[in-house]
Amino acid sequence: MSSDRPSPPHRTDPLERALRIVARRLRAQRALDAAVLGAVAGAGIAALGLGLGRAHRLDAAAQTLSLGVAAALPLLFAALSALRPVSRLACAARLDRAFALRSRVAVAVDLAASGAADRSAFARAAVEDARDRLRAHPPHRAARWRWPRSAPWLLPLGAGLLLLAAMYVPLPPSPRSAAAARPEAPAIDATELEALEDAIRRLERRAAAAGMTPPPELQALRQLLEELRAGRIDRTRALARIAELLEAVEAQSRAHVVRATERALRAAAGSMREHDAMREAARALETPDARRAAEALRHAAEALRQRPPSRRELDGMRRALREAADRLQDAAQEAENERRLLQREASRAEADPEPDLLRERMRELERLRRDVEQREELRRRLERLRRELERSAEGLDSPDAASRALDAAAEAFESLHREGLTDAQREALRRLLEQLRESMRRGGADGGAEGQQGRHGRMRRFELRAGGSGEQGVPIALPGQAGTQGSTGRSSGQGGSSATGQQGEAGGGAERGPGSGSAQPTEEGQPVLVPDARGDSLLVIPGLERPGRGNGSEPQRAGSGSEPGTEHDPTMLDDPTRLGARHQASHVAGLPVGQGPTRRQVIFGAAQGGFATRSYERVYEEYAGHAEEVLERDQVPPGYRFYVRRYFELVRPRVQEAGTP
Amino acid sequence: MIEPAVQQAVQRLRDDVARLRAEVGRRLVGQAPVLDGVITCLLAGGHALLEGVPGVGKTMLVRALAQATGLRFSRIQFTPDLVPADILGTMVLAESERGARALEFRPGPVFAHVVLADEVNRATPKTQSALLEAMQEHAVTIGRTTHPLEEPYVVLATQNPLEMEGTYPLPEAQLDRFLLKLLVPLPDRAQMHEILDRTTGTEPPDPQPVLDRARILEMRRTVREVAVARHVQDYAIRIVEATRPQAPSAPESVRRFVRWGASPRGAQAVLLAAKVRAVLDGRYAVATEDVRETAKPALRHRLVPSFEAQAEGIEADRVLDDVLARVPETVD
Repeated sequence: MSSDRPSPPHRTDPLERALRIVARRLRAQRALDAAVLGAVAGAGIAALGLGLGRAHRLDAAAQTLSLGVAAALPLLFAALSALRPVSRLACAARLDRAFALRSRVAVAVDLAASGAADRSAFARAAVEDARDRLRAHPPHRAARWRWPRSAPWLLPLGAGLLLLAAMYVPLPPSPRSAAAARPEAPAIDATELEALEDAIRRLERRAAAAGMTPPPELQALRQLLEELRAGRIDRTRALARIAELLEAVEAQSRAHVVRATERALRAAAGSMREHDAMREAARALETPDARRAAEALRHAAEALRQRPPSRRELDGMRRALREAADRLQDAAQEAENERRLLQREASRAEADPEPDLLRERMRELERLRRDVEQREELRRRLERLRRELERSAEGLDSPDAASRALDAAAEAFESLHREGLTDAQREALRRLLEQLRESMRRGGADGGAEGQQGRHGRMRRFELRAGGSGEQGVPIALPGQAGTQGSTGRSSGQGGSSATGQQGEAGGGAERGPGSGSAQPTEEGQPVLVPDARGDSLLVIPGLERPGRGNGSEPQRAGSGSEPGTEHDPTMLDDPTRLGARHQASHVAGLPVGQGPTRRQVIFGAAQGGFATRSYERVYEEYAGHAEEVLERDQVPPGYRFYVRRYFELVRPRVQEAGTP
Repeated sequence: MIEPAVQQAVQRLRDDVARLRAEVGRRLVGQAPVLDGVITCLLAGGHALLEGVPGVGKTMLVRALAQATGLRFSRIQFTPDLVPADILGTMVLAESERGARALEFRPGPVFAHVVLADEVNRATPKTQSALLEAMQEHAVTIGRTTHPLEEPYVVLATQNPLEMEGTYPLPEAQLDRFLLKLLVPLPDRAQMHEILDRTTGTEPPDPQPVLDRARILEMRRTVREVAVARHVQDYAIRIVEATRPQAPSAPESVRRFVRWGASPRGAQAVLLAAKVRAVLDGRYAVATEDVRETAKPALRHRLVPSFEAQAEGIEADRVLDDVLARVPETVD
């Protein structure tokens, strides 16, 4: 069955067919050429990008961009070339050259396009002649595949690219090179190692006294000590690991307080579970979740308002609450016992007459006091909850008061939950302090970053001379060392020392009248640098420590007070105890050192070339500038502003005068 | 399918020319390109300037061609004392049988179909210019009367490139009238043997006419019908343009060695000669190859060399080679 529809011209006309085939081949070949050219260009770009990246002239994003461009270039080039049309005359010329047709095809294409073939017999004959000739030749032979002209460039460029890429792949070190790369034994002398071991022993002793299993971090610390003795780890890494481990130990200590609280709540839940109205709250306390327990108690109170309880139910509830209060009292008593034990240990540490270990003792003392405070806090918390529950139990004398009593109990649990939040904030602050201390350690070590042991030795000798105390070389970062350094422990005759690090400036002692060392609780959340009694810089986190214990207001009576201070330095312009303003924790990032508290930075800076070196100037500018920013940003009482600015005035690096050696 | 009439016309033309070549070849040894050039001029209706040293067969070629085509032939030996009347003809006083006397035109040697102007550069410019009208207009004006020349009319002029003394170089205007300038080379050794064999032995028979005047005119019409594609014509134009030193497309060699380039008549010559070439090759349209191959004989005498070219002995063909190498066949 034949169709009346005419076939497309390119199906029947050998001239059109040949032109179409050649055009398709030419475009494909051109696209291939362009793709290879793009690949060559892309390889060049990628090599350039990787090379510059290797030379640290290009960041990672730019390198990625260069690789992306390199990958996209071949496709882009190929697409552009493939889309560019191919001239019919060029295709015809290809056919003429391939089959030696002496321009027959090109002339035929031109004549057909110009319409001459319709007017002249010879033109028609020329077109037909071209068609006849093309019938005898396969058109694809006119456009044979060939290697792209740029292909030879691909090999060297690709090889170079692979070489560069291989430089990015880290190769496993050979045993010889690994041995060569092993750090040399640290130059830690025997006194440093002894101090470290002493600290570990004390930690283990304290853990045993608190009834705690020695945490695994202590085992790791002992292992670290062995590595240091064997010289398998360098000083910087050792100090970093010490800091991490000690932080973990401290976190373990905090976890002890949390666990003790949880144990107490579970004990209280056991008593409350006996009564229907408080069963849900008991379940929440077993979790333990104080907030959910408070909600459950509120729901129970609401239910009692809807349905007043009978006298018997009231008695049951009262009994349950009292039993819960008794459980909490037992837990509070246990916390108090722990606190006393730690307090005794702290007193022994305070009375240690060993002068060489003074600073180490001070740190240990600070940490013990922190533990004491934690136990005290636990006891206080549990006691308050007990009082509230007791009060609620007493209030259960009538059906109307039952709901109010449960509301009060709910409020007590809610308060406990809120205190938990405060704990979290304090924990965050403590971590902030640790980060700052770590940064400052790193900054201090930067002065000796060359890792030359001789230099470390010189710095250590200088440090010992400057401190005048012959302290242990490795600054063991015991928990709480930075936050409580303000308490000097020398209450007698000092006019009331501040427990918060604010050094009593005018407090001359018991014989000289009222001291101005104020019992000033610092503002919560605002760490400041203050000088201590020995001239060292101490970092104090206001709000982390409890208020000062002595006010120094009675000139003839020495000793530390147990209550918050009532007076302050007359130079202060505002109420120094005013708190509640908005503050934001902030710190200055230091340089990687891995050792030493704040003062270590000063010593290293001085050791580099005098007391007012460029390094110390830079450190001072960073800290002073940051302190000024904080003072401007936060609502700091003017009295605190004075002390902070006074401190930075005192530690300002002096300009070296001409002629000064 | 090619129209049979066209196919036959082309085929017949090719056959006739083949017979003509064969007939001329009975007297002429070698010189096939020159013979093709002369046949091209005959079929295209143009004139040819043959340049070669004496004794290479120029006159014999022309005479044999005239004999083979059956056309009337005349030969003019140009000398310095030749006057225009010697070639054009003159009015003579003739007396009738009744004794009446009247001026009567006696045609000169230009009144022929094939005119051999031997050593045309030895005549004075006045005499050379007398040939100008005959070559261009195919007519001769004597007094107030114009005498048309009978077609086909072909002037085949020769000149000697060596003997410059006592010669008058052809003016540019007259050179432009020649369709082609053919260089007649010396025969090679094999051809020399053949020449000697033919000319020192028995006299070979004269060529016999294989064509006639009407057939030649018909062949000329066939040639004129050969198609020319636009891009081929454009190629010819671009070549001619490139011979002009003022043209932007002119190569550096043209700017240095050419004082004046080819005129539009040069493009006509190229295309006509290309048509003849195409049809003799059995094609129905001119190819770019035809244009390229006819460009040099059609243009070499139209380039006026500069002083630098004359001083350095730069031939026109060398400049044209550069032009052909630099002008692309197609422009996208």
